[in-house]
Order: sequence, then structure tokens, then C-alpha cells
Amino acid sequence: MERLALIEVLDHDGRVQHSVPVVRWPVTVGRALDCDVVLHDPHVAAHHATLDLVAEGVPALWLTVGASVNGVRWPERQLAAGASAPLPPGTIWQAGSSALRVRLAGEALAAETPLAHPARHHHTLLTAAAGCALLAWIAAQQWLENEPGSTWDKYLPVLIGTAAGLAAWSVLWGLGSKLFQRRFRLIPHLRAVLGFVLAGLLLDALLALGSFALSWPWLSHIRGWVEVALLAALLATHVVLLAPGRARAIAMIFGALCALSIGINAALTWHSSERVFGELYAATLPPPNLRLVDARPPAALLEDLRPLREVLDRRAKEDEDREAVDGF
Amino acid sequence: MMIARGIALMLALILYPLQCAPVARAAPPAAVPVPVEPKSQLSASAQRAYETARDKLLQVRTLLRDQDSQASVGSGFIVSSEGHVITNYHVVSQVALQPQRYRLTYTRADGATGVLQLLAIDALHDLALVRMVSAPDTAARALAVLAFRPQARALDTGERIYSLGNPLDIGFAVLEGNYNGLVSRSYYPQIFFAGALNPGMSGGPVLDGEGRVVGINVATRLDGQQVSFLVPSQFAEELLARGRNAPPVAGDWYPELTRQLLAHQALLVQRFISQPWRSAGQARYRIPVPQEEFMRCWGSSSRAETKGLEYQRSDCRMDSAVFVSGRLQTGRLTARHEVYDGTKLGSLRFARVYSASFRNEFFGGGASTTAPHCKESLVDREGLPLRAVVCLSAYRKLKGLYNLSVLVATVDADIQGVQGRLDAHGIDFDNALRLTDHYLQGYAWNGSH
Repeated sequence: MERLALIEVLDHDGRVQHSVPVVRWPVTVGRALDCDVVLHDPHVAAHHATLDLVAEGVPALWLTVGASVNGVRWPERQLAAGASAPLPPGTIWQAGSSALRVRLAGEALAAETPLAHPARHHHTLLTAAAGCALLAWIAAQQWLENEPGSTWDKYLPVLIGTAAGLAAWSVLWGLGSKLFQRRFRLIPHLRAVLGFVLAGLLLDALLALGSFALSWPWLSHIRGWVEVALLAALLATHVVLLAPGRARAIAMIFGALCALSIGINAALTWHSSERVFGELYAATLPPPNLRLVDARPPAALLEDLRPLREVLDRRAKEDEDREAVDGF
Repeated sequence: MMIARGIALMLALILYPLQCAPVARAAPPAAVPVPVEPKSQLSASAQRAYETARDKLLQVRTLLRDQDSQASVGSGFIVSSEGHVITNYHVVSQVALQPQRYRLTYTRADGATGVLQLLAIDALHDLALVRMVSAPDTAARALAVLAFRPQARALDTGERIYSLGNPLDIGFAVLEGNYNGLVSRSYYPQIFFAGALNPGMSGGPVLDGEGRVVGINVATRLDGQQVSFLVPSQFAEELLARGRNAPPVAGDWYPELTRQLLAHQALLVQRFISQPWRSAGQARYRIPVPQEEFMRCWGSSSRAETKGLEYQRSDCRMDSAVFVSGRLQTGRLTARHEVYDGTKLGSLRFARVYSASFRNEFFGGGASTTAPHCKESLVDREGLPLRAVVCLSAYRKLKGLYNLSVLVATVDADIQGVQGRLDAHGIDFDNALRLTDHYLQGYAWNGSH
């Protein structure tokens, strides 16, 4: 017999749980065994709804609600018992707590969606390259810290620790993917964390060197903020991988969280010391040939100091007044 | 070696019972039996000193304003028949700084008690002048007083002197010791007393063999044995002359303390700046090292077998500071530097440890000062580029006084450098600028680098 339609019963994630082919109209939906589509849902009536194709004029699918307490609804529509309405094509409608969808024969099909993240070869290679770059960076840092003549075993703990830490982090997020997307996806999460950690290390080094080269201490001071921003971006990337449809909202939430944490940190530092940055001074002293600006005479530094007198005196007075209020 | 030690031990054993402690120091302490002290004439002097001073001694007690619990105890002695008493400033500092919370009382050897009133302080020499008030016996009969030894009659080194006071609130006591001249490199003169001082004796008198005051107990070295310090009596005499008719001060003594500390720092900085820097003996750099007139410098260096950074370090500080409160001492200068040689490290590794060392500095924002504020710059010193950081914080209650820290690192070479730091506690703002300039001017290349 010709298949006229397919009635799909969906699960909570919107995936098809099972489907019932339609070979004649009308079709009955309910908990009773004589229904065409039998639902195992306590919120569904014995004969919950009837679907019929009305062929007059433009053919349309009509839904009529049977003797049901909960009725039927779909976006912007609520039908009580006995009500009847045309069901727009492709609509997901709710009978009790069950979600259903009707696909009619001859309905235009959407084009095939390519796999969201095909495990393309060059992506895996890129991830591996980023991993190697990060380990190389960590090894170089360890080399700087080691005394000359140190043997390879000094590098092992930090390299293994870093690799294990990154793997554990990625696996946890991969399990998150499994939970939300029903697919364990390790590589995209690993790629995200590698990318952001590498970017963080690189930016940190560049800011510290730039601060010395240009004698701009603020470049060094903002490193803490840059770290917070990168951490927020990394977390947002992970979460977007779990819920790709909500990228915009997630970006806004993490952007706000990042701004909030930087703001609170700056406010606390200001409250305790009337400074915006926690770092008192830029301490990186790289090889001197990186210096791009001229040194100034001592008198210039003394001139910079003079305005501090007013700031400190005001602060001392405020502190003392506060103490007096606290009942020292 | 063994023979020499044996002889020393024998000498010690022979001499010890006759001449007492100091000689015994040559011998290992474990080998010396605890001697039975014979009743000698010296102890009789101690007995006489105690008898002379007994009725002129006080225990000075700081009590909470609203109850009789004692917050701290010290000693003092009567210097005028009107009831003037000399003690240490640090014995009465709680009352001076928080009169709304503390009060002063005294207890005499015969058990008589009464109230004390603070008349004058000399924080720089750690002295205070107080007066006995409202004591019934004060009005009834004239008080016996301790006399000061005339300044013209100097003590001889080794001369026996007697310290009196009430150690640890146990009871009035006399302790014998020796006069050893003035403490070397002390900013304010202090007598080096070879004898034991214990907490609670602060402010007590130290008498010569004739029962006259030569000094006032003030401090002891916890890292030494029988190394104690006395304030020479002349400062107590001056304080008595200056303050005996002073009206009582309403409120706390912060304004007076500030005045004394401002005068102290003015002279200190003037003296410090007028001294030329000493040479650090470094081939490449001229480094500012202070004279050891009132500072003491200690050196240290990296292990000879190091495979990494080689360094030499010099640490100069004033041993004494002005006591303000139990939590605050100020009016002190320190200067230190480290000369780094990274030949064995190479330039990249050197840059890492050099940066780490520059970062590893603490700028205290204690309870008495504001948080530090810093300015930093690349500074040129006759062609030698320096990275300089200057941090200042202001005292909350000592208006017009600041703490200064100047941090300097040379940035002219790949594998060597000098980092130095000057700290000045409790100086005024203009002197902070002068000292900063003075310190920076101390850096330069040394001839042909």
C-alpha cells in the first residue's frame, strides 16, 4: 500500500524515537490499543487526537482533539478537547508530554546536511602540531629554569603533567559532549584548549617583553586581565561545542562574566590601594638589546614622583578617618 | 689545637670561681661545672646598690582603662622629690598612643601603689618622664631620689655596674654586669652592658658602685648572651630638665612623636647624604654602598660549586630604629645590593633569574601605612641604563612621614648586572626625593667597563 505519511514520535532532544507509517486517513492517536499511533504516556487520553487530510481546495491536515484533559498544543496554539485546527506542515506538536511530527508524502525535503565536524585529516594534524608546539614551549620554559647541564629527566614531570592535564581537561569536556550531543568529541575540545593556552603563553611573553622594550609598564600590568579574558573565551568555546545552536548567547554570557570578574578585581584593588592593577611594577628584564626607547635622566623620575604626595596624604587621611569610624 | 683547648679549660676552671662569668666564656660550656658562688665583696656591692635604690624603684604598670588587668609592665626610678620618674618610652607607649584605652600605675618595693601621669617623651632615646600623682605617701613625706653620675666622670671599661628593675613581674631584683663603653655604630649613643636584662626591667636604673645612675635599661640582644643596652643617663637628665614642669598632654602623643621623628629624619638623612658612597669593589659598575659609620654591612655569596647563577650580596642596615609602638619601629635606613654573574647560564637563562630576582621584592603595606604607590622608569646614569622603581607609602598617624623604597636593576649587559635596593622608613617627602636622587646618582659604569 502506498505510504501517505509518516508520524514521528520524538524524544526530549528532538530526535525521532519511533515512527508510524500512515496508509489511510484519518489516523487516531492515543493510549488505547485501537489507535493507529499508540503512545505510552500517562498524560495522553485513550483517544487523544484524530488527524485527517482534507482534500478540498488546498489540501491541509486537520487535527481534532478527542476527550482529553491536556489537549494538544504547538507553538502559539492551544487546542482543548473537541477543538479542531489545521496543522501547519512540519510542526512539532505536543500531546500530553509527547512530541510528535507529521511528514506528508510529497513534502519537499531539506538538503542533506554535511556532518558538523568531519574528522578531517588536516584538522587532526593541526591539533597534533599545536600539542607539539605547547609541549615544546613548556620544555623551553623548563630549560630556562634548569641549571646548565641538567639531564632529560628534569623535563619529564612537567611535560607529562602538562600532557595529562590537557588530556584530562579535554576528556571531561568530551564527556560533556556525550551528555549533551550524544557524541563523544575529544579533538575539538583538545584543539580549543591547546589554541587558547598557546595564545595565552604567547601573549603573556609578548606583553612582558613589550613592556620592557617600550618602557610601558601597563603592558605588563594588563597581563592578568588578558589571562582572564582568554580563560573566559576558552570556556565559552567549550560550551559552544556542547550547544552549537546557542553560540551568541554563550558568547554574551561569558563576555559579561569576564568583564564582571575583571571589574570586581580592579574595584577590590582600588579599594585597598587606590591602584587599578594588582602588579606594583613591571619586573621582566629581558636581554638589554630588546630595549627600544631611551633611558631618562633621574630628574624625570623624581618629577613623576611628586604628584604621589597628594595621593598618599589623601589616602592616609581617609584610612585614618575610616579607622576612627570603626572605633580603633 | 687539643693542647690549647685543654689549657683554656684548665684556666677557666681555676679562674671561674674567683672571677666569675666573663672569663669562663673561653671554655666549652658543657665542660664547666656550675660553681658555688663565694660570698665576695662584689656581691656586697650589689647588695649595697639594691639597698640604695630600693625605695626609689618603681614597677611601671600599663593597665586597661576600665579594669585592673595589666597590659604590660616595666620599671622606673624616682629622680625628683616632687615625684618625677624616669622610665622607657616603650614602657609607656600604649598609654601615649591610646590614652583612651590604657592608664599608668606604679607599684613600689614596699607594696605602695599609685597613679602615674605622662609628662614628656624622648622617643629617639626611648625615654619617658612620668610623675607620681595622688599617692598618699607622696604628699606626706619628701621622696628619696636617685642621683645621676656627673657626666664629667666617665666610667672605665670593665667597671662593675648594677642593673635594677622588676624582671618578668617576679619581683624587684639587682643584676651585676660590666660597663663596656658605647655600642659601636649606634646612631644614638647606647651603653654596651655585659649583663642580662629581662623583659620587665626596661626603664630601670643602672647604678655605679656609688649608687649613682649611669644608664637606663633598654634592650638586650636575643641572639647573643649577656649583650644588653642602656640609655646613657645624660639623656634622662635632659628630659627631666625639659619636661619636669610640662603641662599634661590632652589626647594622644602622636603629634609630639611626629615632631621628634621629623627632627630625627632631617638629621639622619642630612648625615647620610653628606657621606660619600663607598666603593663596592666591582670592576664594571659603580654601586652605592653606605659608609659603616652608623650602619653595619653583611656580605654573602653563591656557593663556590654552583652551576648556575653566581652572585655577591651586601646588606647594610642600621641596627637600631626608633620604637613607636609594639607593631611599629621606624626612622631606619637599609641599603643592599646583589652583583650577578650569569656567565655559566647564558643570556636567556640569566634574563629569567634576573627578572625573578627583580620581581621577588616586598613592599610592605602594614597597618601603620597606606598601600604603596610606585613609579618606574628607565633611568640613564652617565650612559648606564637602569630600571628603577620607586615606591612610597604614607604613615596614617604620623603625618608627613613616609616609607621609601628604591629598587634598581642595571640593564646594560646580557649576562651580568646589579640589583640594589634602598629603604628609608619614616622620612618626609622632600627627603624621599633627595634620597632617591642620591641613591640613583650612586650608580654608574666604573671607568672602562
